[in-house]
Amino acid sequence: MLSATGMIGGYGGADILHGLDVEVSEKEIVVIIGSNGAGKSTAMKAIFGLVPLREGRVTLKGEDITNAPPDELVPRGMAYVPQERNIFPSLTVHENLEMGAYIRQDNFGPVLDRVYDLFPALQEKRKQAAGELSGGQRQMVAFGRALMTEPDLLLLDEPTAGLSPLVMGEIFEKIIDVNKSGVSILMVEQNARHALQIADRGYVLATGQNLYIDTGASLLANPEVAESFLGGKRADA
Amino acid sequence: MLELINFYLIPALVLGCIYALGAIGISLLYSILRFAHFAHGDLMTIGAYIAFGMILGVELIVFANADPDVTVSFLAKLVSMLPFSLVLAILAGMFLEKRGFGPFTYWRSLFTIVGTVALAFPLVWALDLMTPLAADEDFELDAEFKVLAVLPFAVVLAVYMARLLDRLFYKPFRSSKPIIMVIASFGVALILRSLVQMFFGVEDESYAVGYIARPLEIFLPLRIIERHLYIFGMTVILMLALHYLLTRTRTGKAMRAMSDDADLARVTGINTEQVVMWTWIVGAGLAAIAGVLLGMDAPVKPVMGWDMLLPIFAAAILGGLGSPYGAIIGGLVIGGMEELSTFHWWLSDEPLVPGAYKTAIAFGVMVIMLIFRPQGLFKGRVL
Amino acid sequence: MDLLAFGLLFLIQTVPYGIAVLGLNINWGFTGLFNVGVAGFYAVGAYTSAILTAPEQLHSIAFGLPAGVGWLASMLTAAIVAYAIGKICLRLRSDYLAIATIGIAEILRLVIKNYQDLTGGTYGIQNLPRPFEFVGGYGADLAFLAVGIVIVAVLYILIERMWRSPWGRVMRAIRENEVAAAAAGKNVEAFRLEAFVVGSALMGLAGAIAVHASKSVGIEGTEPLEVTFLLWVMLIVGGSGNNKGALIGVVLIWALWSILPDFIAAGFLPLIESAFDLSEENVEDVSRRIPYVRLFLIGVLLQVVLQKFPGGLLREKAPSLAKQPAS
Repeated sequence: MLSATGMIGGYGGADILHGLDVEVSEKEIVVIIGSNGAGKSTAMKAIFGLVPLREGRVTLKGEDITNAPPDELVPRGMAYVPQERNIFPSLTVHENLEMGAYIRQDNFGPVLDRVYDLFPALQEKRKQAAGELSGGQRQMVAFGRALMTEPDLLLLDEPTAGLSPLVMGEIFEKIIDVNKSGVSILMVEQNARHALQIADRGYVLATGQNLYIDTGASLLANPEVAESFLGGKRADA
Repeated sequence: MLELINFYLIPALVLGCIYALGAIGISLLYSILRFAHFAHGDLMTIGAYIAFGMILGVELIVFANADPDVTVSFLAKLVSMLPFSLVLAILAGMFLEKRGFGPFTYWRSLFTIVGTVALAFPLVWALDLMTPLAADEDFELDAEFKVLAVLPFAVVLAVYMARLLDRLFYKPFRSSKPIIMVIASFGVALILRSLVQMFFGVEDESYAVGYIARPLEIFLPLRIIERHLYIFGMTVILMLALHYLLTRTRTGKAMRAMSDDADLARVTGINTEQVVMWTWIVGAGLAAIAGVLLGMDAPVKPVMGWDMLLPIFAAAILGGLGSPYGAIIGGLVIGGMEELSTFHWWLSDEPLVPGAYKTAIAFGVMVIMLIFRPQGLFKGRVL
Repeated sequence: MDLLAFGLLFLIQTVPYGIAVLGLNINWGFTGLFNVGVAGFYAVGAYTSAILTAPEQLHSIAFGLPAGVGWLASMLTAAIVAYAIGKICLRLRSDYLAIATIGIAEILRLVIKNYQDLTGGTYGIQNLPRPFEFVGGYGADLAFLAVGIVIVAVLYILIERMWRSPWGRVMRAIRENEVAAAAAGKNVEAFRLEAFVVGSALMGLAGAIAVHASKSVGIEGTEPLEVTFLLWVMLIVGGSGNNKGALIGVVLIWALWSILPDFIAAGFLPLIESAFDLSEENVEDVSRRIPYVRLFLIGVLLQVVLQKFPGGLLREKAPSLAKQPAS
C-alpha cells in the first residue's frame, strides 16, 4: 500500500528525519512510537506532503507520491487526521462531514450513513457546531471527516492525545472497526502500550531514524522497548 | 420624530447598507486570505466607474442617433460597446467550459479577446435599430433604470478585474507573510485609483439620478426616494443570497471551513484556490454593487471608494473580522451612528457632532473596539 | 529655471523624504510595523511647527517662535500621537496598526481642514520662517540644504549605531521571532512602541522641515496618499532594513517622480495627439491626466519590486538571526 524509504527532510533547512523508512501493507494497522522530538509527527506530515522531503521516496499503491501536495493525495485514497485543530469548529458536525466529502462529485449519502453508524453519537449532534463538542466527540468528527472520501489508507496523528482513558479505549475500538472495514491505518501514538496491542506492526523512532521495526506483539515483548518507550519493564501486557 | 426618520434614519440605513456590502468583502477576504484588503474601497470605485462608463457608452450611441447634428464614428460606437461585449464573451466562455469545451487554459484569453471584438458589432447594430425610438422627442431613459440595467454587467467586469488583480498581485504572496499582501493591496489601491483618474478624470460625475428627487408618496408620512428603495431592496436580496451561499452550498461551506482553518481545509482535500476564487467573486461583486449604489446616491468620483475604506473597516472590526453577518450589523451600526450623530438631539441648537467630523465617528468606534473588544461583537478572529 | 536652481530645489525636497524614510525604516525595516499613516505624522509635525513659528496670520493663531523650536516640537507632537496609537494597536496583529494609522491620517486631515482657528483651514499658514533666508539667493538655498544634509547625516549615524546596539539586536530578534524574544524575557510591546514612536517622531520632523523649505503649509501638502505611498515605494525600492538603501531609494524615486511627467508628456502626448487628431482643448485635458499616469507607473513599479526584488536595491546587511518558517 504505502512505502516510504530513506526519508530525509524537515522544516526550512533543518532536517528532522534522517533516513527513515515506513511501510504499510494492505489492511494493516501500523503504529509509530518514539520519544518526544523523535520525528513521529514529522514523518507522518512528510508522507502527506506537508513537510518537504529533501531525499527519499514515497509510493502509494506503487505510484510515486514524494512531496505531492494533499489535494493530490486525497483523491488517490489517502486521508489524514492532524493531531490538533482537526475539525472546523464553527461548522456543524454534519457540515464537517460534508467537507470531508468535498472532493466527491457523486452522492455520498451511503458513506455518510456508514459514518453515522460507526459514530452514533455524531448522528445525535449533527446540527451542533463541532467546536462545542467534547474532546472525544471532536476526535470522532475528525475521524469521520477523514472517512468521507472512503480512503484506502488513513493517517492518524496521535488520535487519543488529551483524552480520558475511557474515551481513549473507545477511539481505539473505532480504529479497529475502521480497519476491519478494509482501511489500512498508519498512526502515531503517545499511548504506545495500548497502540501496539492493536497494531500489526510497529516502528520505534529515535532522532528521525528507525530504531526497531517489528510486529506489535514482539515490540511489546521486547524488554529494551518496554524500558525506554513503554514506561516500565512490564513486558507481559 | 418624522424629521428624525425621514432625514436621518433613512439616509442612515442607506449608508449602512452600502457599508455593509463593502464590509462583508473585507471580512471574508480577511478570514480566508488572511489579510486586510486595502484596495477594497477602490474596487467599489471601479464598480461605480465601470457602470458609469457603460451608461456613457449607451448614451453616446442613442444620443448620436437621436440628434441629427451629431455624428459619431462607427469605431467610437464599437469601442463604447466593448465593455458589454466583454461581459458577454466572458459568460459565453464560462458556458462553453461548463458544456465540456476546454479547459481553456490558454484558449480562454484568446476566445475572450476575439469574442469581445466580434460581439461588439451586433450590439452596435442592435442599438442603432433603436434610432426611431430615440428620435422621439419624449423619449427619455429613466436614470434609475439605466443604472440598474448596467449593474449586472458592471459586476461581472469588476469581479473579472478583481480576479485578475488577485492573479497578478496577490497570488504570488499566498505563502508569504500576510503583511506583504497588505502592502501589495495598498499599491493596488493606488493603481486602481490612478486608472480611474487617467480614464475618467478627477471631476465629480453622476449617473444623473437627480439628487433633488421627489420622494415617493406611497408610504406617507414616510418620505422615501425611489433610489433608496432600490438600495434597500438590493441589499436585502444580496444578504439573503449570501446567507444561502454560506449555509446551503458546498462552495459556501468550504469558504466557512477555510476561514475556520485553512490548513485543515487543505488537508481535507478542499480546493483552496477555488475557494479563494469564490471569495473574490463574492467580495468584489458586493463591493462593485456597493460602489454603484453609492454612485446612485452621491457623486461618482475617484476617491469615493477610498473614503469608504475607514468606515467599512470599522464596520468589519465592529462585527468581528471574519464574521460576514457581523459585518452586516457593523455596517448598519456605523452608517447609523454617522448619520444620527449630526441630528440635533435633545432639541439642542447644535448637532451632536458637527457634520464635518462625521467620518471621525467610524474611527472612534474602531478605536474603542480595538481597545475593549478587538474580536468584535460577533467573535471574529484576532490574529 | 536654470539647472542649478532646479538641482538645489530637487535636493532640498529630498531632505524631508530622507528623514521620513529613516523613520519609516525604524518602523518597518527594523521592527516590521506597517505604518500607513506616514502622512498623518508628517502633517502633525508640519502644522505644529507652522503654528509655533509663523508670524501673525489672518485666519489662525501663530506664535512667531524660531524654526528650531518648531522642529523640536514637531517631533514631540508626532511622538505623542504615535504613542497613543501604538499603545492601542501594537498588541494586535499588524493589519490593525495599518488600519488605525490610515484612520489617524484621515482624521487629522479632517481636523486640519475644519479647525480653521488653529490650522488656517483651506487658507493654510503662510510666510513661515526659513533658516538662513537672510543670506539671499542661492546662498540661502545652499545653507538650508546644508542644514538638511547635516540633520540627515546625524540621524543616519545615530540610527546605525542604535541598530548595532543591544537595543537593535533585541529589535531584530523580535522581528524574526516574536515568541522567542518574549520567552527570553524581552518586553516585546515596549520595544515595538519605542520603535513606533521614534520612527513617527522623525516623520513629524520631516513634515516640519518640508513646510519650512516651502515657507507655507496647506491641506494639499498633506495629501495622505502621495506622501505615504511615495515613502513606502522609496523604502521598498531602496531596500527595507538598510538605511543607506532607503536614502538611495529616496533620491531615485524622487528623481523619477520629478521627471516622469515631462517624460510622459514628451513621449506620449504627440503620439496620442496624432493618433486621435485631438483639439487643443482635448490635449489640455489629456495633459492634465499625466500625473495619474505617473502614479500608476510608480504603483506598478512597487508591485514589480515586491515580487521580483523583494530585498530592494541594497539588502539589509545586519546579520540576520536564524530564519524561521513563515507562520
